[in-house]
Amino acid sequence: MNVAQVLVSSVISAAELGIIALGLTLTFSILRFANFSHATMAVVGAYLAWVVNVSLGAPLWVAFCAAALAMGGFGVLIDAAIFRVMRNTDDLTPMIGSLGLSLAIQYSVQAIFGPQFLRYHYGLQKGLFLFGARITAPQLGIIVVAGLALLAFHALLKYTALGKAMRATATNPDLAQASSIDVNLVIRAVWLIGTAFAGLGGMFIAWDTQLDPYFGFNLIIPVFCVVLIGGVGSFYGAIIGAAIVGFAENIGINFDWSGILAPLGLAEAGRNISLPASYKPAVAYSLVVVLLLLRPSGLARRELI
Amino acid sequence: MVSRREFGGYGGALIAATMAAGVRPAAAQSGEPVKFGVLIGLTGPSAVAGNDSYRCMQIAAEEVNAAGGVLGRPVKLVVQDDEGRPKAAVDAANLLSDVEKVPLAVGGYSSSTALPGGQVFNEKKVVWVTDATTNKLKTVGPYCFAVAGLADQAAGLVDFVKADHPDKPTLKMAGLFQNNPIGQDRDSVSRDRAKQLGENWVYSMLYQVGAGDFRAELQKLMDAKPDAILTDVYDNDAQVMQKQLYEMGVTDYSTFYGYNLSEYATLDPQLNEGMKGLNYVTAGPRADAFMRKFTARFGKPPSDAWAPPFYDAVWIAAIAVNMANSLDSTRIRNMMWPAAYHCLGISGQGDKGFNQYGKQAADQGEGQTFKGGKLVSYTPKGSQSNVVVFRYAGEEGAPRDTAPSDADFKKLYG
Repeated sequence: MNVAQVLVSSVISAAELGIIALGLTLTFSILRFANFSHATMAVVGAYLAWVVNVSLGAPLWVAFCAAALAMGGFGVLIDAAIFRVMRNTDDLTPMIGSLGLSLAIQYSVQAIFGPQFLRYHYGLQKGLFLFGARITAPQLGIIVVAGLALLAFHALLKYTALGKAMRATATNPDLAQASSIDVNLVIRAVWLIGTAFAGLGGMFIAWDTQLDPYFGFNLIIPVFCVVLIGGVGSFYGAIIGAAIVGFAENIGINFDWSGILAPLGLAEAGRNISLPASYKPAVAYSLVVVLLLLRPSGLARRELI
Repeated sequence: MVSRREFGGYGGALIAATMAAGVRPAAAQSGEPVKFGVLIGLTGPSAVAGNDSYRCMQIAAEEVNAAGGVLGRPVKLVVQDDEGRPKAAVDAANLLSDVEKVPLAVGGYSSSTALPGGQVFNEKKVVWVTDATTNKLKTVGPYCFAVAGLADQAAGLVDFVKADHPDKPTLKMAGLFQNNPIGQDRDSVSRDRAKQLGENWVYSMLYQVGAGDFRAELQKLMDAKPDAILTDVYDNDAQVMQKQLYEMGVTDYSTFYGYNLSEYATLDPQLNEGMKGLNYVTAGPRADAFMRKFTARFGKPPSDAWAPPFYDAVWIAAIAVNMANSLDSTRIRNMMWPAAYHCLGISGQGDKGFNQYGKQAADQGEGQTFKGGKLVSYTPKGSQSNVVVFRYAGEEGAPRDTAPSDADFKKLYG
């Protein structure tokens, strides 16, 4: 096993998942429902960036910035049009509504852009050789931008009035309202930031791989795993969860168990024993089950910060 | 008995069958259309190939209608999208059988939809003509036909790889396949054939279709250091995998051997240069005309080598209906064998004869390689021919010109 390569791949996966999971945990902490449409927002963001980059011919960084901003606005619009109406119902209604919205968006994207895969205007990149592993410039960019976005969000929560209002609303919305916090404004900000993060994550994944209308569905379970492992509604938990899922998926199927099994007489010494590649998704989900058995509320406390 | 090929292609067979049925071609376009069900993935993971497959069927249906239709009536394709999902395929098969009441259906590009859809059709005695290739299709029942070779026939690629390495006494081989019925079949067939030939099978990578990120799996595959990697992946996945391999430092793809090189044909030439393998053959005098027609109509040739067999499927079904002189599905089923036996197809070098299971008795693949982004003919180093023919041993390798008897069916399916 090329340990360095596996570690680099794990960090890339963690960065892509983390930024999407962060938006999901943010919406959950304030709005208190599992937003299944969140992963689909990643798809919309990726396609919006494609329009700006390929159809309009703008540079990729311009496309990413424009699409992230547009996604923020889209999130606010969706709240106003759909989820605000469901706000005072039970937890199930907005969750089912988000599932329906997710399907509607996915099929709309497919109807508009077609089922074929698309790519941004960006040439092939041979990996740079760093510490025994290969990593491309876009992948480095993804890790750096994801890191910066997380730091910016941390700063927003910790050092701004809006962040304070978000934390207060997440802890006790009624008390926050009684303390003159404009809860509706906080909710709009949550949709704006959360959806922009989802869109940005989608752009990263599409940049690293390609665009197709279905990649949102493949994200739903890993992203929810990240949030559950980290502790639903926890910002730092989402980061830890992303790292765990990213590393578990990559290390899980590359780890050679013979070093452990051979001394116990359960395997032949020197013979590589590792999980089949088809078990990759199962590794992360098994980990979720084990971690939730040990710590049902997730690794971090259910608080925004 | 008319000798095989004397019909000189479908047109002759159709006209002869139409006349035998006492129907004058002049009356072909009158009357209620005859519905042919189509169950294909217009959306979903193999949507690109699915759409091209449907286009092939449309061209065939138009030609059938121009040649007189079936039973003096025009053919109408009634299409249902299987979305590449087994559940959607089952729902659509039920709808085509029970609501549209089609006597026959064509489609099922991928085995994961062709198999469950085919089981529904077979249960409802609707003739089902697919080009999916899982070996499990053999057990579906007497109403299930395949116009492309099953996974068994993929063993030919192992022989092709072996022939391409005449200097190596033992090869280290690995597989890279979809984790679905056809991928699992390809894996076991390839492994078994490699072992028969005395080769060393070092690793099988079965991947999750559409997963989007394959770095961890590919890392493991490359760590096994195989001399040859046998692959069959879907177009969308091929794009990501080859790109990720390139990013991981792989620049020589000559160790990759594909069961379906078309899956790699739309890639940047840097991602497929030197790849070799067997491509499903669309060749012969009728194939050229078909390819010209398809390209003129849709602006480019079919994206996938497994799309043209659907053209053959519609033609064989149309001829069978005329030979049956009825829309009774059991009579159509019984005429599928002679219809396929006498037809000159555009796929598999024209030979479309069914064995007792209603599957291809033999299949052919053409050796090809990517050179400068284009697929060109390739003959393995230790071989004289670039065509690899697979034929089943014994009765299974013999195309039939008549349907098996009821007693035979009982023996085959219980």
